[in-house]
Amino acid sequence: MIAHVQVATVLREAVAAPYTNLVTRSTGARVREQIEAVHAPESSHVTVLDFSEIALLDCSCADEIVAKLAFDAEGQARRLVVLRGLRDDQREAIEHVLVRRGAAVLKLDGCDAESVGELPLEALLLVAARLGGGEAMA
Amino acid sequence: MTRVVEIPASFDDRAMDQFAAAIGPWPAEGRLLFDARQAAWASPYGLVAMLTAGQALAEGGAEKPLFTVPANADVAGYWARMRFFEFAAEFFELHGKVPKVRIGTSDALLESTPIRAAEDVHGAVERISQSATRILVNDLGLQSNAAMGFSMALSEACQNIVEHAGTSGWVAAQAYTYRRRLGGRRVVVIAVSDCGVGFRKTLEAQQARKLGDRWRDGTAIESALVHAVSRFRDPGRGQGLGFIRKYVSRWDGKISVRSGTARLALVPSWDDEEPLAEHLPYFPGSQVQVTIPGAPAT
Repeated sequence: MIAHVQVATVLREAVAAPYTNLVTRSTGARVREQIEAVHAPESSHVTVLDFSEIALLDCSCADEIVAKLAFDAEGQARRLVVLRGLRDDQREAIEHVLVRRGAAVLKLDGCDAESVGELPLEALLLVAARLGGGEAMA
Repeated sequence: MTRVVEIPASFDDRAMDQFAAAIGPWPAEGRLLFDARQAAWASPYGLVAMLTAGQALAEGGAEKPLFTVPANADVAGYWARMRFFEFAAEFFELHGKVPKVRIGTSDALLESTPIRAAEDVHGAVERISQSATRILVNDLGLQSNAAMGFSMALSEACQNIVEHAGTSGWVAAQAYTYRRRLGGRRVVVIAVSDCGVGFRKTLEAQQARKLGDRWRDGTAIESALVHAVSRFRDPGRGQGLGFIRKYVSRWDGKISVRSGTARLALVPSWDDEEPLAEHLPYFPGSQVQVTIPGAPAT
């Protein structure tokens, strides 16, 4: 199953404040927990995170949300994370944390797919196809 | 007995060692009088360093120190607009005329701001985001992603207080003109300071045995800043300073970290500071300064 998450909406619910900046590790952890409470990895093999209404994303939040949704503590993939509505500075923060973990996620911009992190795009697209992620890319 | 600590006339990061030496060994003995009457200027670094000293004395149970306000009304006015006296009143017995200012009349990127919890980091980022783009893009001639990176660097530097210091701390940011360096170019500066446990104690459990008798303040800062060592096992931790390092390198900036008796800086070509200074006068906690220069004139 594919889960679609508007990250700004989850942020507002998680911190009960009108923030548009995704900063601090504790905020990132709250956002991730909120997402996982609705979309557990067992039922959501592909999770699409839409960052379009997010202003700023720092590395701590990128790690807590993107890296930990996608990978467990041993570095094993938990699900395919697909990113939408991502600006260059947000992409850099996510790439910074994923490279350190030797991991990657998929970024979609319209019909263009791109790997963010250490893995080649082809490897991610194979995973996406296996998990039925074609719909996320439509 | 009251001992006088002279506030450097021009108090920026370069005057920090002079300030720490004037305070002397910690815990400071007797009552201290911080004399700022001759002060002519203070950078964000100077302001948060003075607040940190006051906080450290209060947390150490010292008698409330005295503080004389700058005699120059413009200087005192600027410090007031930077909210220095508002917070200093908690730690110092203020003497002299403290100018009354309306909150929000400062043109600072970010006035002196306490960082006690993650919510304060959110607040600081929300405030600085509004002015960072205007100042970095319009005033300094940088690209807009430099402004986003600036806010991210501020967030990461402040989070180190919340995550590691074991106490609260301070942040301030400002744009100003370098008179001696960079040929008079504009710069933006973030200064973050706390009187917490410092880098050496934070990383002692992971690194001290590995480095043996090389383990000291300088190597502790190097472990965090250069090698991204964290006290947490989680591989995602310890990336904040790494991000700042990458950011300052991209924009030809500078990061300087002082903790305990050492200071380590990643020094760009326009600066002449020694990358590593050890055996400095002790000052509690950690002080971080990020400096981003404006684009060169074309």
